[in-house]
Amino acid sequence: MHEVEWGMPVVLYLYFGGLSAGVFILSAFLAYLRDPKLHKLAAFGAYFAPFPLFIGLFLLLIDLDRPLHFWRLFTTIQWTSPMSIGSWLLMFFSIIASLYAILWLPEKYSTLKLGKFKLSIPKSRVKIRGILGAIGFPTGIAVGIYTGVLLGAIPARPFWNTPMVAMLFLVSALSTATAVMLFASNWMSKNTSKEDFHRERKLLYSADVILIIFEMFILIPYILHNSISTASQSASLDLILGGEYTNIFWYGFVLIGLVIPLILETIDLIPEIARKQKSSHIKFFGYLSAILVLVGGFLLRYIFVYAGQASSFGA
Amino acid sequence: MSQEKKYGMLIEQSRCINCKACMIACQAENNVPLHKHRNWIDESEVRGTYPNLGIDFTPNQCNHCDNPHCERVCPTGATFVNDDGIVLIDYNKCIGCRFCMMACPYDARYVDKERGIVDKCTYCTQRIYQGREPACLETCPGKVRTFGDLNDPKSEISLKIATHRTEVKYPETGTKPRIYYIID
Amino acid sequence: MKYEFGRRSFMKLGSCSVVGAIIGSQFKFASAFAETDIKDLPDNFSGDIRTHCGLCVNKCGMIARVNNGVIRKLDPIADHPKSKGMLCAKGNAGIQTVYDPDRLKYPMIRVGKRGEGKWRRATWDEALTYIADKLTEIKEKHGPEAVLFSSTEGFQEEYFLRLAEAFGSPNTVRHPTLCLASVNNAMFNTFGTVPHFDLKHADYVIFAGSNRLESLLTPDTVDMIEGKASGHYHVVLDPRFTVTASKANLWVPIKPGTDLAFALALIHMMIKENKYDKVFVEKYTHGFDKLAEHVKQYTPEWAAYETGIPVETIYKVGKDFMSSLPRSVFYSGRRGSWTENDTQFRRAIAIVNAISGAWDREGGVAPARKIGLGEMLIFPPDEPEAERIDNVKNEFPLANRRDGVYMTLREHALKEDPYPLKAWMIYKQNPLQSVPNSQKTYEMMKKMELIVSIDIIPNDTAWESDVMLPEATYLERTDPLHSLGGLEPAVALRQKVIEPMYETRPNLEIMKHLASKLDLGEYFDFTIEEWLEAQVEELPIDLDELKRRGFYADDKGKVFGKTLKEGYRFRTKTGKIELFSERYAEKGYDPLPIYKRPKNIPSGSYILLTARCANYTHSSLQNNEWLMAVGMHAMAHVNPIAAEKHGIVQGEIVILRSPYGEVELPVYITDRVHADVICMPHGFGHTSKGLSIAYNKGARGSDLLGSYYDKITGNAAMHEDFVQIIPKRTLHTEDVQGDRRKSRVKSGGITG
Ligand SMILES: Nc1nc2c(c(=O)[nH]1)N[C@H]1C(S)=C(S)[C@@H](COP(=O)(O)OP(=O)(O)OC[C@H]3O[C@@H](n4cnc5c(=O)[nH]c(N)nc54)[C@H](O)[C@@H]3O)O[C@H]1N2
Ligand SMILES: Nc1nc2c(c(=O)[nH]1)N[C@H]1C(S)=C(S)[C@@H](COP(=O)(O)OP(=O)(O)OC[C@H]3O[C@@H](n4cnc5c(=O)[nH]c(N)nc54)[C@H](O)[C@@H]3O)O[C@H]1N2
Ligand code: SF4
Ligand code: SF4
Ligand code: SF4
Ligand code: SF4
Ligand code: SF4
Ligand SMILES: [Mo]
Repeated sequence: MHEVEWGMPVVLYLYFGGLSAGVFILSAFLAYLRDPKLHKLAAFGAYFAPFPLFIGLFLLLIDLDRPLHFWRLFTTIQWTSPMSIGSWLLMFFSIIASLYAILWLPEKYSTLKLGKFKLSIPKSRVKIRGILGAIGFPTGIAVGIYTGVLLGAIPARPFWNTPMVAMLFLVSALSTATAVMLFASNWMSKNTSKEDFHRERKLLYSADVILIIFEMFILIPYILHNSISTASQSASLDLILGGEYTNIFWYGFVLIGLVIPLILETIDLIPEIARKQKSSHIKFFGYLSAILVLVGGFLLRYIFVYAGQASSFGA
Repeated sequence: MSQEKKYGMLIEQSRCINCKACMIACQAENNVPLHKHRNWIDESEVRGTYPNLGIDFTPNQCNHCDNPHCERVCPTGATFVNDDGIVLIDYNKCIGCRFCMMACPYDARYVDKERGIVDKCTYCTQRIYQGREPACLETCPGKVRTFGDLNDPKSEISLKIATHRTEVKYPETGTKPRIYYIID
Repeated sequence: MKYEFGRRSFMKLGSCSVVGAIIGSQFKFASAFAETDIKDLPDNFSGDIRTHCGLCVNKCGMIARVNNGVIRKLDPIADHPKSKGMLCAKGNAGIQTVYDPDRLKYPMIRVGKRGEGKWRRATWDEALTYIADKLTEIKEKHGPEAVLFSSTEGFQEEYFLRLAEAFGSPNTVRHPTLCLASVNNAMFNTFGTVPHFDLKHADYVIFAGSNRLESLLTPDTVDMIEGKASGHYHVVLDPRFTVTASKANLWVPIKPGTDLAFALALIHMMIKENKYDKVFVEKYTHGFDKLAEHVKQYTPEWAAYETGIPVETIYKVGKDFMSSLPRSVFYSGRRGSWTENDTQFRRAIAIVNAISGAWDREGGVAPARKIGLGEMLIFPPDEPEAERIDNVKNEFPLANRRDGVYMTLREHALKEDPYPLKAWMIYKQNPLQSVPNSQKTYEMMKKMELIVSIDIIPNDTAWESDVMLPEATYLERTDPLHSLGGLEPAVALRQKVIEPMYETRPNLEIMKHLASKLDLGEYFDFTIEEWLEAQVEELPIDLDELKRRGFYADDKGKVFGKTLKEGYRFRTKTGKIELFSERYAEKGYDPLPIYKRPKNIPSGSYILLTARCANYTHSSLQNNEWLMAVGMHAMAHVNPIAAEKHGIVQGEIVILRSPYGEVELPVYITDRVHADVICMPHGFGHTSKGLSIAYNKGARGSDLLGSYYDKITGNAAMHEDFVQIIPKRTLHTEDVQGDRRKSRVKSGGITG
């Protein structure tokens, strides 16, 4: 393997897969809160969730060297293959996410007509939605973890091979999902009352700040663990500590994707927490931190997919 | 009690002169696409201080591991371990996802774009099942490789392993590789 | 008279008398050239055919696996006495040579200016008529000697040389004076033969240069690896840390051009310490006392100063060499085109092996055996009337006249001294790459009214010629038998495994056709089949059996001691092994090797070396895709000390400049070369645009080399040149060192 075999399609697949799972989880969680004021966001999440996943799956499919044979994935389950399990998982999850999205459609769309074909959404949609949310929530978490396990379960690539990768990917997935919600919340704020908007912001900011801090606390042990581990594992760290991916890791992912959004979001939250007074909420900073988090999440996948392939034993 | 065969290879890298005959022989024998290789020679950095220098050439190829990670991660079951220990790919089942390439610690696999599959050393099954030697072994000016049945204690390879100090590459990955290198 | 005879008949030579019959007739040749090749293979032929590789001098035995008229695989013949079951990377990539889309496919006649690359396709008849007309015109105006015939060894070369003879030109020039003329001359004038080395059994071997693990030579390469593995001690003197050096027990980075000092010191030690074989010297050699007197001056201390080798190392090698006698040898090397004093250095090697007692024994140095072949008795053409233009007879009285002397021949041609050369016929040779000082070769080309190149690819020289004639490759033609001499000799049959592709033809057919146009058809009044039948006559097996086996070897194996028998006369003047060469004395050369110190290296300059690597043959195979894919970066190897001096960084592009030209190459900074040396690979930097892969990759050594030559043989001296290194301050874009992942296809430069 003297070329990069997993390129951008896989990066985007992992990224979008995590994003979908995260957004679904947030949506299900918001719905679970049963606060109608948050329903707008929950609905957005529900509509949004399937799409990145579909794009990701499509990219993955065309990235196969024999895309027309993709169905062979579903003629077998290989219990030892994260990809096999992941494929089934993603299929299951995309069905749930799609149904869930449909069930969030407003009442006026409760009957979908396609020529003679009619699809009516059951009256008990909210209840079914709840059930789907309950099933989808852990499935989503599994998908989020899976995107990391796919890499982490490979002893051959020292850069990947720790359980922390799965955790990192899951938390990052949730963080990027929060950023999407934040973006949406800003976007839709014209029709949102100040009060509600404020609530959304507070919720999302706090969530994201916690997630980012989590990410940092996974990252630190990841680096510590790898550096004191086997020779190949510590050598693989060179990729981000003085190698090809050093700049993009530290300036790209850590600074732009974690530190700056953390600062921006914390600045916004400080007045709330410290002086119990409402902050001014500059929308621009909302957009900015959302975008930065999304960029950071993407860079994380990019760095891991590429640098991981460059790491190997005896390097 | 007749035991099943388990094929393996022994490499005496001190005899390797880095001539790359084995690479081209394999290319021709197995229609390996241009710029891809089933076997290759690792050239070490120059060791020592002038004029006491050293350099090593180490032939590499698929180790036909006892615990092949490539097989473990293959989502379609395309990669399998044959009865005789040879790790093979069912080209019909392979979808070209390249997960196995990530999983192989030896980077032994490559993509065959034309066929849309991933491929690697097969120990030249088409030759050995006819009683001939693998192409890379046969052509080598240094006769660096020995091929044979590891389960047969009287085979040349078993005898050599029994009488030399050998090592396998990166045993810490847990793949249980089955290409032995003579260390001296 | 002669003509009558030659036209009508040719005979095969039986074992002791002429038993041949008259088969030919004057009517036959006219139509014969199109159908002389041995039996046609069906288009869809499938099967295994045993034959011999033709991609370098070695002629390894191989089996071609053919499927439906397509060559699928070339496998080594396991029990071949010369190639010993190996086939190198080049041999394996032979398939790619046959199916190279850039091959010469049709006769091509130049339409643009020379070298411009504008050609028109011609029929054979048209092209050969064109050539014949021109040759006839030149012959009439300037005599047949105005046509130069140059060629490199190959099984069909003899037909080319035969055409030269028939045409009446004395001016043939072959590769030996670019290669091994000095080695052969030195060995021959010592032992009366060019011996071989039993590397499989020699316990202690000194190699000077002789990069046997990269410059592959069978069976030596294989025997050497085997011998080393069985515990033999190898010492390598080389300014470069080659693969051969890396496998040796001791690498001695010697200052280039000073090896003679080392060899003389070794002789000095052997005699001083009484470790030479007295009985042997007494009985079989001539001139020992003079030798002993002569080498008194050459102490190890002196040699240490000259060679830059620590004196302890010289003592150690000397001691170990002597203690392993008689199973110690000083390997003679093959390419002796190093210095102006090269023959004397090779003579010193011969002398070491002559006084050591290793002569004609297992693990020593022994004359080659050769299996005799029958010969077609065809009437020889007249001796050419004119003298050779290079005046070998007087300038190099001990050199091989038919081989000529490339370096001085070119000088004579440029000066038209004593007459002009007007046409140049080239067979299987690429002089623009292989003859030093390409500028002069270009100038010589300008003197030519006609240049014809018979090749298989449009190589640099072919590209600069007027007509390119496509020969069928070694896999598409049946060649005359060749007796491969050696300790374990064999007779090699090369037979075609597929029909010639496109309009290519074996050289014999080209020669026949051309000869008929020149009205010289009677000299080629035979077919390859008849030729083979005549040759096989001497063997205990018939042609059909030979075709099945691919080669013939007797079962004697290595035979030693023939020359040690009572009454044996060595083919020297005295009939003994000549430590003191009477022939040299007679011709005014130093009869005992005298050391000459190499020229001082001008400050800021370096000695230029050009080296080969295992997967290319000279300038022949750089257009082979498979080989290029595992090949090397063509880079200048520079020692870190030199790099630092010029502030050059790894991978930087530099200009190498000599008085004769300059080239650009990226540098590879490595301890693997001596600090006095810059080394670049030989055979790169093709200027022919007809080679889509090789074109403009790397640089040509011949652009930098001057015109030095050895004084006894005229062998080109290629290590007498200095180059300056001028940084360009731009980085090479390709990965220089290559990371591990790329390492399977990279090569740190020149050597492995
Ligand atoms: N792969 C491959 N094999 C070949 C050939 C080929 O083209 N490719 N060509 C064949 C032919 S025609 C020939 S003649 C042989 C040639 O085979 P060799 O005789 O081995 O010649 P070179 O390969 O030129 O190697 C010459 C070595 O001498 C070293 N050297 C240079 N100057 C000095 C010096 O002053 N002193 C000492 N001690 N060493 C020095 C160089 O660094 C180099 O390593 O190879 C044959 N084999
Ligand atoms: N700088 C430098 N110069 C050198 C050397 C060196 O080490 N360094 N080495 C020297 C030595 S040792 C030698 S022997 C000479 C060799 O010098 P050359 O004999 O000129 O060797 P090549 O460069 O291999 O060129 C051989 C030509 O023959 C063609 N050819 C190959 N097979 C066939 C065939 O079957 N039929 C026909 N018609 N053509 C064929 C090839 O395409 C190529 O054009 O070079 C010498 N020149
Ligand atoms: S053929 Fe043999 S000597 Fe040559 S590179 Fe391969 S293993 Fe090494
Ligand atoms: S070396 Fe790699 S490809 Fe071969 S069996 Fe082991 S893990 Fe699989
Ligand atoms: S590329 Fe083929 S062999 Fe490799 S894991 Fe995917 S399906 Fe299995
Ligand atoms: S055993 Fe066969 S397939 Fe494997 S590397 Fe050798 S030649 Fe290639
Ligand atoms: S090119 Fe290689 S295989 Fe062919 S004759 Fe030369 S050494 Fe032998
Ligand atoms: Mo040569």
